[in-house]
Amino acid sequence: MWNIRDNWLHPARPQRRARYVIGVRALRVLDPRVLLLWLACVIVGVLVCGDIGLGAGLGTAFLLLTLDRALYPWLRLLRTLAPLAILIVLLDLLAGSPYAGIRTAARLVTLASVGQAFGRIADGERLLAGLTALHVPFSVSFVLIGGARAVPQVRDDLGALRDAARLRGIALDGPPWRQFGGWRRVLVPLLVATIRRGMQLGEAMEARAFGAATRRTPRGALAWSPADSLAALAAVLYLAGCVAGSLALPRLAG
Amino acid sequence: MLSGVSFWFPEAAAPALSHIDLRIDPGEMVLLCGPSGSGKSTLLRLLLGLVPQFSGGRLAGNVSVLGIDPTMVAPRLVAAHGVALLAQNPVEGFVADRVADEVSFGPQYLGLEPAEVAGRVDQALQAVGLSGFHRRRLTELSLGQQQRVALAAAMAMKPQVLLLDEPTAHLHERAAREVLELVAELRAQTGIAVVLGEHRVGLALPYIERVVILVDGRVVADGTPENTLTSPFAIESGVPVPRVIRAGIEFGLNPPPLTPGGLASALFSFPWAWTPPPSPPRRGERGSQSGSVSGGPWVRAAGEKALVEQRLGRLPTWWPSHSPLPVGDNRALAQREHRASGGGEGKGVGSPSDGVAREILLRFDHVSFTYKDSPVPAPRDVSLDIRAGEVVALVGSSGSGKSTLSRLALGLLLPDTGRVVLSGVETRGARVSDLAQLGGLVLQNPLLQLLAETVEDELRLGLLNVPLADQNERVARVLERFDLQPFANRHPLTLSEGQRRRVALAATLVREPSLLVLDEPTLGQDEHGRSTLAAVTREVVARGGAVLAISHDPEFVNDACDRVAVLEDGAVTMLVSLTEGQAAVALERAGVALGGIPQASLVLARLGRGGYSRTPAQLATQAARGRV
Repeated sequence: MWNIRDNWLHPARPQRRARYVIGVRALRVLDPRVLLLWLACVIVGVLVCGDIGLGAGLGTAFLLLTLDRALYPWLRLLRTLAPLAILIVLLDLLAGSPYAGIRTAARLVTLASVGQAFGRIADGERLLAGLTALHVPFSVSFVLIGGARAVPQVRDDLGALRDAARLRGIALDGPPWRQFGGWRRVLVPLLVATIRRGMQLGEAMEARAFGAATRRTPRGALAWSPADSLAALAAVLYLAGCVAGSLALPRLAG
Repeated sequence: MLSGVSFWFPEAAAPALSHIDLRIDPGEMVLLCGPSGSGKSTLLRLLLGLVPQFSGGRLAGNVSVLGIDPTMVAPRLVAAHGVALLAQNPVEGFVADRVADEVSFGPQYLGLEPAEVAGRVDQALQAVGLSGFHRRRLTELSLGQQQRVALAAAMAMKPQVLLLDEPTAHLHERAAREVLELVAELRAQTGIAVVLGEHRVGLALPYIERVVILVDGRVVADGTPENTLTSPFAIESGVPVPRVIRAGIEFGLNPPPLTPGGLASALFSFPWAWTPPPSPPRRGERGSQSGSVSGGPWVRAAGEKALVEQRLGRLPTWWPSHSPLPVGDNRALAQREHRASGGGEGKGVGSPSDGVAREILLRFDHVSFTYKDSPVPAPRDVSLDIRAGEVVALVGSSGSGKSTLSRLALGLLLPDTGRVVLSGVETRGARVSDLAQLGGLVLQNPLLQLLAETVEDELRLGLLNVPLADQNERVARVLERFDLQPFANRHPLTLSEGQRRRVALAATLVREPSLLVLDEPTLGQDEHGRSTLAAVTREVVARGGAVLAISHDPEFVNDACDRVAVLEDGAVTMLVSLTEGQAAVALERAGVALGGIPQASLVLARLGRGGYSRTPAQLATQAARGRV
């Protein structure tokens, strides 16, 4: 119908991650429900299995991010979380329970790392299909995925606002009280920008007939394979191992 | 069809749209233009029902699109009925990660069968030249490709009305032309009606047959481009009328030509002669409004009617003031093109064309930078000096490293190799907040640069170490300079996009930096905004500063800049002085878009009237050369 021409493409920007390691590629083709199961198992392990679950979760995240050659983004995440983690430790230190503070901070870092690792592996549209197959209402799952998609955007906006502050001579480094004044100036515009983006996205979805029909046409059915069964079994075993370990070694159960 | 439509935003005293009567027939392609804030986006959003349903506000009059009233039906149903909207920045409207998922998003809500959805995705991607891009991530595409994906997503809905809100705003000239060409071809093949809201009128002209001019929410002209854009009223009301048409009006050509070729051929055959001015102004006088055009009467070759005083006296205030250029300078191109990689200093490579050695305010010395997630450096081994008293434009396709260079200039990024020196201070080892005393950077998105709670505080924010009296004086002066006094106590984020841009620029200039770096400063600006920018750059230069402007706007480059550096794949491939005769030829050869007047100048040169012109006065001189 609209056969115009095909030969006027701009040279695309170089692909950011042109080569994938085999292991990560294999994970990417897994059924999204298996990835969700894995994610759930790792999170439950971190939350209820004490130091063993914590260590296993951090190890899992580290392994996935290493296979994905994403250690730099991970280090950037850690750098972003560092002030909050330090604050948690300091508050618990003042409350007289420094180890609890360290554990809480470690949980925060581990959960964020796990989220980052799975976020990089999972494909948004396949995750949507997976959640739909699990009978999660589409509007709920779309908001969840949309929220996850917004994280890098918010991070970029924060970076731009931080640069704008520095360009106006506002120092965002140095002692914490000095940083506080600078960050205070940045956070309100960040909130405004985030809300504005949300509204723009809402308008864009409306302009694309979001919700016009009662039923959304599915694109491509999910196919469950033996590999998915194995991966799902591995996830269950992982969690079982964490629980068993925490029971066997109560001192590490937190 | 709109009949007697007026619209007021909540709590606004003046209507955003006022008594609009408009009828658009199937298959029409209509250009909607006007100054910033004239109501173009509001009108487009009204046709989909986003206004007033998402915006709130009060509407009067009747609106009917494809037989339904979009103000009474949910916008999603209007979209499903056959109305599609393509926004300015495609990235902000993307709802998926991959191309095919993005394109299929709309059709999936039309209650279609899966095979039909897949077929529409294939068709739409083929139509926009992106076959085989189904699984590509949107973030991996260039801006032009992203805009095409957005267009494919709109076309996959099989609309009967396509609304385009400045679809080329973020694109460089070539990509913008391709998108508009694509829209025109889709319209020709499908018979859809297209309403195009656009500031870049010159780009859109070849593809449209009807122009609607909006000023202050009113339709002030509706007709063919010849009848609407060539009216002096259009210019006076701030419509971004192309330079070529403005020049034709100034020359008294009737009708004024719409294209550079038309202007050149009209001037070629026009019986004028030019008497050279008695004493050309020196370069240092470029700040004066009449610098480029003072002196020297225009006379008709017949001799009976002098036109010079009339025409030159009536040159409008937006007209750029460049020092006169030698016409007919045909020295070898090789002498005009400078490879920055040579890296010379002083009066040699990279120095301004007037041969005067000036202080180097910014030096890129073999600078390379690679983002962590990118396999190739951009910029790559860039050497470039920006000297006091000059405005340098940095042009090139998206992804070539222009914005990265601007960040390197102010120390927001540090080079992997080489060094960046800002006013004698190497950025490595210096704090950005200290470097900000030496230079100012105005980024693309004003929303992410405004940090204070009032406009006045925004200006004071950068003056914390300045004595209060001086602070007050500077703030008052800048508020006045940018017409911001009425908004001094308003929150910057409640202002319009154009006003926010002005605040961001004012907040940088109030610090009086010696070097000003502008990243796409004319984005979304109307003629008034552009002329203010050009004037501001001249002011910075006049007080001994320098400007580095990243821009894909050839008219701004022609009006405001002295030199042009072309950046391709991270490397400076060309550095030319616009004050030299063969600059236009060199830039054209490099595939860089030229302003309307330089284009006309090239055509004249090909017709045998050699020379190079940047202003209408120079162009007329060039055209008249063979006649004297």
